[in-house]
Amino acid sequence: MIDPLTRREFIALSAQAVSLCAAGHLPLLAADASGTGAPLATDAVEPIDGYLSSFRPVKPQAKLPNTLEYAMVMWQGRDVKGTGKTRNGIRGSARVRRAERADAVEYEVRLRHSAEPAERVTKYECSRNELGTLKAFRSYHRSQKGLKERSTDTGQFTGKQLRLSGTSRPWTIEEPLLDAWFIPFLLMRKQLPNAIRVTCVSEGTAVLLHQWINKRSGAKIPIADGEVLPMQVWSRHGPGTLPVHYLLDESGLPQLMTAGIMSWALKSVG
Amino acid sequence: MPTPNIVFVHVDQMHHRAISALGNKHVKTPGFDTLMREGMHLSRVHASNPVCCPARSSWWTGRMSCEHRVIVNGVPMEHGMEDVATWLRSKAGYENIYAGKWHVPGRSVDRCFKVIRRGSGQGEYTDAVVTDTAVAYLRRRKPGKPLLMSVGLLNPQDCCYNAGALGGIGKYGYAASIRQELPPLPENFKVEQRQRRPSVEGWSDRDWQYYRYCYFRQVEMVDAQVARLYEAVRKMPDADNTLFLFASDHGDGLGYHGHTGKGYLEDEALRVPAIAVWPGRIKAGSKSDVLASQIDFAATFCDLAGVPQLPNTPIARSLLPALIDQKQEWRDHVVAENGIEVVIRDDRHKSYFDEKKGLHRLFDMQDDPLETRNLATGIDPAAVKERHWGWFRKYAGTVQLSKSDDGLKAAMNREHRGRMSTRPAGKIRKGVERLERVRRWYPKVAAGEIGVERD
Repeated sequence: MIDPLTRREFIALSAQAVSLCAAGHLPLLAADASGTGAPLATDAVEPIDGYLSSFRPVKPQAKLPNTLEYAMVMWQGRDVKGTGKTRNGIRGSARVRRAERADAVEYEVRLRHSAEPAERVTKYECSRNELGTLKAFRSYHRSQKGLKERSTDTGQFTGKQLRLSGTSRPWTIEEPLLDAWFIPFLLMRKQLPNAIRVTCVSEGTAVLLHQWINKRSGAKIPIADGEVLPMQVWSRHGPGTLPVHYLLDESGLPQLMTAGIMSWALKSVG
Repeated sequence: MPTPNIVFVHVDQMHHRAISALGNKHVKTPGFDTLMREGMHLSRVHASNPVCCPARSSWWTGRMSCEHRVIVNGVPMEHGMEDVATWLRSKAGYENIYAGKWHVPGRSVDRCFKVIRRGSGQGEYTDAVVTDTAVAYLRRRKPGKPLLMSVGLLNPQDCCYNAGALGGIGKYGYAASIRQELPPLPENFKVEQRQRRPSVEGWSDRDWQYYRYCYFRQVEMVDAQVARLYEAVRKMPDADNTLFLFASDHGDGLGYHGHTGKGYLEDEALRVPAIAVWPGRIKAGSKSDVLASQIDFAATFCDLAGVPQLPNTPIARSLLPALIDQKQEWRDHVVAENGIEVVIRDDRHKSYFDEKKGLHRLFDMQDDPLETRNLATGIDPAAVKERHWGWFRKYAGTVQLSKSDDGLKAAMNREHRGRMSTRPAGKIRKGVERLERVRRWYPKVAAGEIGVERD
């Protein structure tokens, strides 16, 4: 007797079949004439496989953008009686701005939650070194809908010591220190090693030690209008985070990022 | 001394050993480690019923599931139950503040607390925002009225979605990329798989390991938020007069006995992490092994506030003497239930009772803490069986069983209309069946109409 497929195996295989069809490897749909070879990225897009059919990538610009704006795409279960794909909704946004100054690089990250309205704005000052490592930040949180609660967090990184205003003990950081939101900008650079180890600050509040950022095989992702988008794939994993995938188009623009419940889809660049 | 503040921070579905300070090498929890270093680890706290709504209803009411009626998620609490938040506000003038997940059906959080932030259903989305709001409140608060603040964080409960009944999420294919980093399976992984969920049938060992890997990351995610809350409490002007209590509503299978999730009475789901910090009152770095239940939290809060205990709570005991190292007589066993089985746990043994089978499982938790060798059919533990049976009879005769069915039909209709895509329907119907079982079973036990063992 043949073992029955588990539901998860079925969904994974279905997603692979759809991808293969869309890429022209199975004779069900019009093929992408550009060819073969790129593996599927089933895991990378698993949390949003139902959202992809409505995703239209942002067109790249001639020069590297200074602003990336993402929609927060939330996983909301699966349509088990229909397509078997994920249900996803937009539950917020993130805008990341990068500016180069004479002696520093500055970032501003504006993160908005819409389901329970709140906003966190963090401004970072970074070194002009290879990875643009973090030196200091100031992060401002506020609730919306008339709630009074608001607060400010700050951080300073000197030597190997990271001091956060919200904690009494400094963190000893041995690796380059970034905010997780710098990574899309980092990945847009053309020459990066295939594996990078960093420590991340997450919106000025959590410290994620020992994060591995790894280049993975390229992938073809089926998106809106039956198109298939060839993507470069990077991943990040380490303590304090579920595995994160970054999917960049052929120009190097980070179009999609997926974690667990939350994923991010590029809305605009500037 | 002014009436103490109470800050009760709770997480969802955290295994009682998922703390690095307890020697767990697969998780890094600097926040929980700090609490352990600066406070008391309550090492033997048990859920009253290891599911979200029942457990939460118990810690606010000091009553067991069979009394408040919340025996599975979604069954509304019986009308007229007192809750400790409202009690403390009316009896001792507490300012009650709430942020995050509540999940006590039939009792509005707004009736008990001023809500500064509600939580959604996923920790990855909501925990940082809930913490932001709670931290902001704590920073601006000025000492005045005694504070009862409760913050409900969700992770590591997001693990439910990784092993979801309706398809799951979790990037399991990624496991191959991080083989060396995956935690091993528990020693009793394959011992007994009597309640394995359909959603995990067919998982490979590596899938299980990856589930555990992700679970520990979700614990680390919530650890960072608990640490922020704790730091904010420490910086309050009246921090020295504030009890900080951390706990979880229940544990998670985490591969023990081949389980994921909760709802059964094995220790992986039943026991919860609990740490209390109170500078100058609770000895830093201490540990208490008292056999405690979540119903004791309400009793502890009443004791701290200097108000009478909640009515009809004869089983609940205040943990305050244990926390401040006062000698006291303590109970010699603890009871938990889920509407299918009842567990009696004493210092050494743990027995499982079933309506039809009587005492059908018995474990020596000292020699066999992973519950792998059932002694129920042996000859030796006859005295243990009789003792545990006596405690069950006493329990069944002490609890005031919920009798009312008001609101159950409406709850079933609501569940039917609002069925979620992430979980199967029919939970409340199952809850009603369990209530009916308990109402039939416990009185017979109390009256001695049935014996310890049956065919």
